[in-house]
Amino acid sequence: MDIAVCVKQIIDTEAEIELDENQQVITDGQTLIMDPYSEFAVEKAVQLKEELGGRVVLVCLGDEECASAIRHGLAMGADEAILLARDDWRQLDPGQKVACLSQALSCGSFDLIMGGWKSGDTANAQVMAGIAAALQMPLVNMATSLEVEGSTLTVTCEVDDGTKVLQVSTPAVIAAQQGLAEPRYPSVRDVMQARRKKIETRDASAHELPAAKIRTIRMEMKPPRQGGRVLEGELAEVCAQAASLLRREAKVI
Amino acid sequence: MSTIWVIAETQEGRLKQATFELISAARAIARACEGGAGEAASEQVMGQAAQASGDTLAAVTFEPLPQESVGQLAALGVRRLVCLDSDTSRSEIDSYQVVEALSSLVAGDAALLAADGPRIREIMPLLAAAAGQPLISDVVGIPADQPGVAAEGGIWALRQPYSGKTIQTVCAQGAPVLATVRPKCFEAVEACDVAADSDNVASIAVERIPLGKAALARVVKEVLTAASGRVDLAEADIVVSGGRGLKGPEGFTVISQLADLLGAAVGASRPAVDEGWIGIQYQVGQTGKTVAPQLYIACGISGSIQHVAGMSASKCVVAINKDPDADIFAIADYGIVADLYQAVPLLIQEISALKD
Repeated sequence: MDIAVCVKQIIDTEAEIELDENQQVITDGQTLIMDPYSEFAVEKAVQLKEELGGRVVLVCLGDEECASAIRHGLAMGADEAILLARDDWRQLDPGQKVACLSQALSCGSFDLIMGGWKSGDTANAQVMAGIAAALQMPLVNMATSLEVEGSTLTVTCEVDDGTKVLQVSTPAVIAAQQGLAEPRYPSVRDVMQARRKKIETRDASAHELPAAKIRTIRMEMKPPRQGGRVLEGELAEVCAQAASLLRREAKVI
Repeated sequence: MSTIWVIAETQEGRLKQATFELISAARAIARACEGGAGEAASEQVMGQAAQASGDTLAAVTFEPLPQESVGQLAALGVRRLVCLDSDTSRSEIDSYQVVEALSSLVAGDAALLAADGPRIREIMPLLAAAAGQPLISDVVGIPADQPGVAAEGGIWALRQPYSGKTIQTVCAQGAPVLATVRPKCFEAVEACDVAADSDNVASIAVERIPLGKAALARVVKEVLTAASGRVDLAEADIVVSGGRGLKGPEGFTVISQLADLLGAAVGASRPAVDEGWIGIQYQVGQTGKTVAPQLYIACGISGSIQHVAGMSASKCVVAINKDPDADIFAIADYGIVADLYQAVPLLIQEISALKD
C-alpha cells in the first residue's frame, strides 16, 4: 500500500507566540516541530506499511526550514519525502495550499492520502478535505481508527454526538484526529538512518495558484485571561463563598 | 439584494441553540456590510438588521422541521427555508450528497454560515473546494470596525489561530463566502415562542431539494452515539472538568455528581485522557475540544498552555487544585486551594443548598 502523508511544520504548541512589527508570527528562535495531527497520520501510515508493505511518502508544503519536521517523519519510519518549496507558503490561503498539494499528489499513484484534520497553528481545518474534493476521492475526516483489508478501508470518525464507522474504497483521503495512533519516539538509530533518506525538493514557486480569496487584515496577541482571585479561609467557608459568588456576583448558577 | 444562508441544525427535533447564534452572526455580517455603527437599535426588531442592508436571511436544514421551528425561523427574519430531502436516515446522509445540493443552492449568494462541529467540518471544506469559494473556519466574532470595507467589499471575521493565543482578522471575497462559526461565541437571538398557526408560518413555504446519489460512496457500517445522556460539551453552558489531580478514573464519579447537579457537561484535560480514565471525546484543549461556557470548573487541572487554549474563552472559571502555584489559578475568577476530593463534595452541598 502506497501512502502519501501531508505534513506541516509548526511552532511548538507549548511555546509563547510573539508578533513582529508586520504582525507576522516570529519563528526565529522558536522550536519548530511536526504538527501533532500530522504526526498522528504519519504514525498510522508507518504502522500500515509495517503491516502490509508498500511505502510512505511525506509531502510538505514549506521551505528549507521545514527539514527538521520532515526528518522527524522519516525517523518515524517514512521512506521518502517531497518538499514543495515556496518562500511564501505561510501567506498562502487554504485554497492555494490545496491547489499546491493536490497538484503534487495527483502525480503519484497513492492508495491512501493522509494528513491532520487541522493544524495546531493556523487551524483552518480544510486542506485535507480540499484535497479530497480536488482529487475526487472519498474523505473520512477526524478519523480515530483505520483498518485496511485489500482495497477496503474501515474507518472510525467523530460525528456530532458520538462516532461513526465507515467503509470506503481506496484511493481515499483520511484526515487524522487525535487517537488514530500514538506517535512513536524515534530511536537514535532511527534518527541516524533518516539522515540517509531522500528529501526531494521541488521548486513550487513558479506553480500557478488560484488568486487568494482570504487575506489577513490584522493579527494581534490575545490578551491573557484575567483572574487570580484565590478564596481564603476554612475549606467549608471557601466553598460556601464560592457557591454564593457564582450565584450573586458571576450570576452563572 | 443578496442572501445570507445559515445551516439550521436540529437535535431531538428542535433547532439547536447554535442555529440562533448563527442568525445573530448573520445579522452582524449584514450590519457590517451596511456600514456598521448605529444599527444596534434595529437589532431589536426581528430580522430588521438583515433587511436594512438589502441582505435576505435564508436557512437550509438536513431534515424536515416541525411547524414550531419553521415559525421561529420565519419570526427571526428567515425568508427562504430549504430542506434537503433524503430517503436515507439523517445520520447516513453523505457529505458529498449535501455538498452537491448546497453548491448549486447557494451559488452567487453572499454567505453560508454553519455551526462548527464534526459534520460541518467535513461538509464546508468539501463545499469550498468543490465550489472554488473561500471558507473562513472557526469564526469567533464579526468585527464592528471595518475600515475600507465599503470600497473593497468582502466579509470580515475574527478567528483565534495559534490555539487561541492570537486574534486574527480576515477578509474573504466569495460568492458565497463560507464560514463555520464556533458555538457560544455569538449571543443567540431570542427564540420567541411562535404559535404554529400564526402568520409567520404562513409567510414562508418550505422548499424541498432531493439529494442525489453520492458519487464517492461511503458505506456507513455503524453509528455509535455517545453513551452519556449529558449535554454536548461544545454547547454546554457549564462544564466541569477533571485532570491529573483526580488520580484515577473513579475521580470522574465525583466530577459527574457536580456536573449532574449543575446540568453541566463533563470535560477532561489531556493527562486524564492519556491515562485512560475517560474517553477522548471529553478532552478540552489544544488537541481536544474548544469550549466557551458561562461557567468552567477545573478540578485537579494544572492549567497547561494546551488546556487553557481550549477553555480560556469561558465567561467564569473556577479552579480547584491542591497546588497553590498551579498555573490555572492565574486565569481563574475564583480559586480554591484544596484537595478536590474534599472541596467538590462541599461545593455540591453548598450549591444544592442554594438551589433549594
